[in-house]
Amino acid sequence: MLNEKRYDFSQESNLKNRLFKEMTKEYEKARQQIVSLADDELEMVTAAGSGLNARKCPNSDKVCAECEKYSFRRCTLGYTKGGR
Amino acid sequence: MYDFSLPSEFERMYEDYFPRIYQHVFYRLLHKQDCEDLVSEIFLKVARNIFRFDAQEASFNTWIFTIARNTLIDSFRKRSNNISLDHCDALIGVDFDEQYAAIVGEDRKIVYKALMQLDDRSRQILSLKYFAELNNREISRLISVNESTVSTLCLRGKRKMRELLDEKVFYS
Repeated sequence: MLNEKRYDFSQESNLKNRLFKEMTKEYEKARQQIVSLADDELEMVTAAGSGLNARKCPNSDKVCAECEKYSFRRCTLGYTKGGR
Repeated sequence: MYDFSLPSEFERMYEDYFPRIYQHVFYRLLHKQDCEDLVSEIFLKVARNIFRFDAQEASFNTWIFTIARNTLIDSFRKRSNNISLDHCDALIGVDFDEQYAAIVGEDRKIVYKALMQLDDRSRQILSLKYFAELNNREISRLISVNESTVSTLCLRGKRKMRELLDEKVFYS
């Protein structure tokens, strides 16, 4: 009943196009923020991943230099204990 | 369902929701200029926060009508500090004659006349039913009124509207 077009008060408004232009600007701003946030988040995930690997080193009871997985001053499994 | 990363989807959402939000707000305020100010505010909030919308938390419909409701409440608060959230008389100071005269469509003039004769609660429930497309349970939760009261007020409101629309009495 009330959702018929002939009863729709918005039909008499000339706000629609003007408002959409303003909204589009705000939408674009919000979209830009999401893109830059995505880059930051990616860095955070990478950093968190490295930290996770370090904690999970299966040979954490050994000093890296004595570990068979440690050669040429780096861990072949990619753990990041920093040569400790 | 919209993919808001695409501007075309954002526009589609606007096409879908502009009339519904406009009607929803107009039913509460019965004032064209106030309605347009509020509709602008609502849609600008939607645009600014569109990427915060999480489909896993709520439907888009619920999300946008929650923004509309909160914006309406804020505007009521500004009008008076002594009103409760959903029991306010939004029509204080509205010049009905002036507003009625400004409406162009004859069918809409009849609806406006009918709306003027309904109380705020009934107009609110009708707009939530028709434009927010909420069911009685959802309305009940949203406005903190039990479901049977919502059902009664909705039936009464619809009956009243139908009577008034059938009468087609023009406001003079």
